[in-house]
Amino acid sequence: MNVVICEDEVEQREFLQKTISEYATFHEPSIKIALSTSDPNRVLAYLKDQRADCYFLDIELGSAITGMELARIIREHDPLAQIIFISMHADRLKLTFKYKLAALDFIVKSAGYDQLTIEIEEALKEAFNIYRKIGNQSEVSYIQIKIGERIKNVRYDDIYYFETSTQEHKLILHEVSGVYEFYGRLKTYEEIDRRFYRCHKSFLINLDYVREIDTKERKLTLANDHICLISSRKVKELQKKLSI
Amino acid sequence: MIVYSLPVFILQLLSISGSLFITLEIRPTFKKIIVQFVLVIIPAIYLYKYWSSPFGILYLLLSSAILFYRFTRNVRAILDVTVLGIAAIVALNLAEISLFSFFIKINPSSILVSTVIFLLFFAIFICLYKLFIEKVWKPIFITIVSRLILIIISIVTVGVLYINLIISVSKNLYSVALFNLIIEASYFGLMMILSMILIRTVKKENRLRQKEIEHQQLLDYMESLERINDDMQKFRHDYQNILLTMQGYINHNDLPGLQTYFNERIVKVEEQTLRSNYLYNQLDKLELIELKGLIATKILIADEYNIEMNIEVPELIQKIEIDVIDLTRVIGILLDNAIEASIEVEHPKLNLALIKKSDHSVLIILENLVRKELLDINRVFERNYSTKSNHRGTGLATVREILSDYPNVTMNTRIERSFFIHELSIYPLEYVHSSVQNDQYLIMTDFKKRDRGGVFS
Repeated sequence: MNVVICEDEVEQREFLQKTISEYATFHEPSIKIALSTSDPNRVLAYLKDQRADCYFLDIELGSAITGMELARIIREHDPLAQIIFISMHADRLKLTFKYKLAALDFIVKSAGYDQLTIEIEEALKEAFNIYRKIGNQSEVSYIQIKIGERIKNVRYDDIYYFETSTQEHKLILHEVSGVYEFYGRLKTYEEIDRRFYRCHKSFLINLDYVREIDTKERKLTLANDHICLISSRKVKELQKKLSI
Repeated sequence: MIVYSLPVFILQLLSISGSLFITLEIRPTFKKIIVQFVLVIIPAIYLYKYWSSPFGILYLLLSSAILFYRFTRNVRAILDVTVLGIAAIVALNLAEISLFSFFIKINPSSILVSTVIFLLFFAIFICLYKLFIEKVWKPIFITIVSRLILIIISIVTVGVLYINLIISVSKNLYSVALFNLIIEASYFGLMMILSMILIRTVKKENRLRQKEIEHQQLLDYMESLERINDDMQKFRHDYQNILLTMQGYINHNDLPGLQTYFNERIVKVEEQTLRSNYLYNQLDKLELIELKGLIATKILIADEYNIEMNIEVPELIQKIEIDVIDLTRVIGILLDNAIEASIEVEHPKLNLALIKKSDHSVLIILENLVRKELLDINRVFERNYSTKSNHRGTGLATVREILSDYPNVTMNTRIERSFFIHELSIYPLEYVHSSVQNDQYLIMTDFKKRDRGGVFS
């Protein structure tokens, strides 16, 4: 995993470099610092023909380009890069960084070196986990929902059911910790996993969560007490699928 | 001469029945068509033929209205039936007139031509009516009373027209067909004008109400600014006292005393002022005055409960593609919920962000710290669900109901890391269609296809 650092204060930059390379030698030798600079233009030059996987950016760069602007350009080049911001100020624009620039983390400098080391290491650890996940292509078991620039992974295991909204082309996804709305068609999701079953034109359910079915009323109750309809043609097939 | 005979009636009946599916935008499933045949079309023809023609017509209109009301659960079904009834009559008369003008004798070809003319005029009426629905009925908020008045007007019109027809047919006054048309046309015109006036008043009323709400929000906003100003005044008033106290410490060479005094009294007060100033500064970038007023008021309330509130508006927001009254209602409900829930948490946190994206969509995020065990995410959208007993419900059902009218708005609600989070995405209208085609929400299999430039080995 290649790391790029852009920080204009020399002392801070050296500290970052030291912390990251120490973490690399002890935990993940594949982490390498590809570039460490005070000048955002050098990062831009680097971006022209190369990619890094993780960027540590100071928000208040003493330059025409701010860290935010730099992050935006990095995002344009590489939507999957992990960006970690470093700032003097407390978490004032936390949500903006998360949703607009899909920042992984936000580290506040004034916290003191001990605290800083912990935070940098944690951010690095998470960045590496995500990096590894992207590489591990065989495990496809979640749906990605884009909220702003942020990507939320919803695991198949957590999904109760999909339903169509009253509005055309809008779907509602019910999962263990929440409800998501997005544009799409149920058909797109029918085939993604064997446990999903289209029991009605408006419902795509997770068979693992079916608690009971009422064949007379053609309704089924899921583990979260929500009720879905079953179309008459599907009753038999559904019963068969559930009895296995 | 044309007679209002059974074939003509059947033609009318079929065109009305068929076009109801078009105007009400219902998909004509096999089942619905069968039901319509059994309950409406066959009995109507039977009544017309073996009973009496007025009954047939009356039955057709009534049963269609009831049936389509059952299909859609929308009062507009009644309006559609009556309007289509009117259209059928007027189109019939127009066909009749043109038949008399161009043909001397009635023969199969003349009947064919008049049928085509009837269908043509009928189709034109449907197009006009659809235009009315799209441009006037749907976008303008018309009160229930005004809707009812419009429906009554159309019912009366259809009644008058059909009575007229039946009388002229039963008394064999065929020569009055032209006269009929003139009366009908002028009546129709009059009704149109009346409806237009009604709609204009409704529009005006809406504007006034909106102005009123805007005004109220502006007042709220000003009030909160005044409160801040008061705080500043108070601080300035204390200024002299503060200096004197500090002088006292300095004169006594009491450095530790000065330090505690400075940290405890001045820094804290200053921090508070700076903080609320910061929040209001963020609001400066929000140019929707109604929303600004609402949020400003809620800042004050959150402040009273000592809720740590954070607001982010990183970029200027001038327009959000949703009716501003609906938007303030939604945000109001969500903020009230968040504040209410925060009272029960030990160290409450409430974050609100309004973020404009490069594609001009706006993302609104509201999150507040909750006690996870108190909230059942599967039930939050139920109408009477509340985290507290003897409480009227969270209002999230209302939020959903309001937003269900907007194809360009999506809302996510979830719990993550002890935060109860709402994410509202409001897209520009033209964007919605393109995004469906491009399937911007990818499942992982699509995601894999993206090139990572061979980073993995």
